[in-house]
Amino acid sequence: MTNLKVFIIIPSYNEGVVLKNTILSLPKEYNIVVVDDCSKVSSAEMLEGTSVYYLRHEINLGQGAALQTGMDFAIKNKADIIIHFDADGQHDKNDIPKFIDKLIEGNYDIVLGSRFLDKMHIKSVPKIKIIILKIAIFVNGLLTGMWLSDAHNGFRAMTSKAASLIYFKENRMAHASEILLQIKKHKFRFTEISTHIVYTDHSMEKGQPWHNSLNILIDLIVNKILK
Amino acid sequence: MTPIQIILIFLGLLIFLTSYKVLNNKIFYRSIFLGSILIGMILVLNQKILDVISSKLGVGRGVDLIFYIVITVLVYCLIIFYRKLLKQDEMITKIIRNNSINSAKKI
Repeated sequence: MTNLKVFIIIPSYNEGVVLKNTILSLPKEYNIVVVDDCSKVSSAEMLEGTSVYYLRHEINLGQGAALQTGMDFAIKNKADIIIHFDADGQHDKNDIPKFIDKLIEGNYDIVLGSRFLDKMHIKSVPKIKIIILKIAIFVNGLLTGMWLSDAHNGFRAMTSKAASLIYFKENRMAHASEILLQIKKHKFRFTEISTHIVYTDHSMEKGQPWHNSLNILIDLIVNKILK
Repeated sequence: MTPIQIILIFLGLLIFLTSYKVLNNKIFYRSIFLGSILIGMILVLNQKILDVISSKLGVGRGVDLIFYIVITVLVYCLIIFYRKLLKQDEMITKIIRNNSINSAKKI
């Protein structure tokens, strides 16, 4: 495991000091790639000395686009494993080795995080969030034929081989559903593992409002027809 | 000739002349667009033709037929433009992505 080049992709938009705290909490053995999606104030100065790769979009494109940029960069730099990690500090760094171990030991292409596999973790999820996510799981199931235990969990790991076959056309949040379509399309071997999500005031504020689910659904349907 | 017929013919000619340059090098779109204006002008001058066509199609009034055609064409144009917009969006995304990867720095 130590010989593997692990790249952690952190898409960021106006995260401020929370981003720095998230990065400082991560072990130094990983290559951290911050993709600043045109935040109002560049994070570069604030991140000085944190030993991260810093990429900045000249215009705001969305989380899906930022992840794709990070993946392209990681592949270009010969990554073995690529991990998607949120900037708002809601993911647990202690889960990262579990993702990597599962990927290698299970010979999987992709490992997806789920907050609904462990009853202890479900308790920390706000009730309104559970309702929205359950609807999203159902819609994802209908659209992709893949019935998972969680939806729109941004914590995932993949081999660079799988990442090189994935291409997010959805620049914004619909990428989280699009990835399921790509898993199906490329017949990737995948599994889910339990992750603990910390809901802070900041992450709740930055999180998607419930009505954005409708936008995601429209994005997926319209873009599938027109693109 | 009624005043509205004169105004519509004048507007038709104006669109005809300006679109000739705008749709330069796009023969298909140019012929469809210019053909539609030409048909429109003929119908303005001879409204009975439209009434005959609409009654044969079971629409009733000629103006209703025009209304249905305009709505259909507008929706079609919207889809075409939205599709083009998505493609341009995709191109911009690729340019922005390449720029950010090429100017990546370790800090």
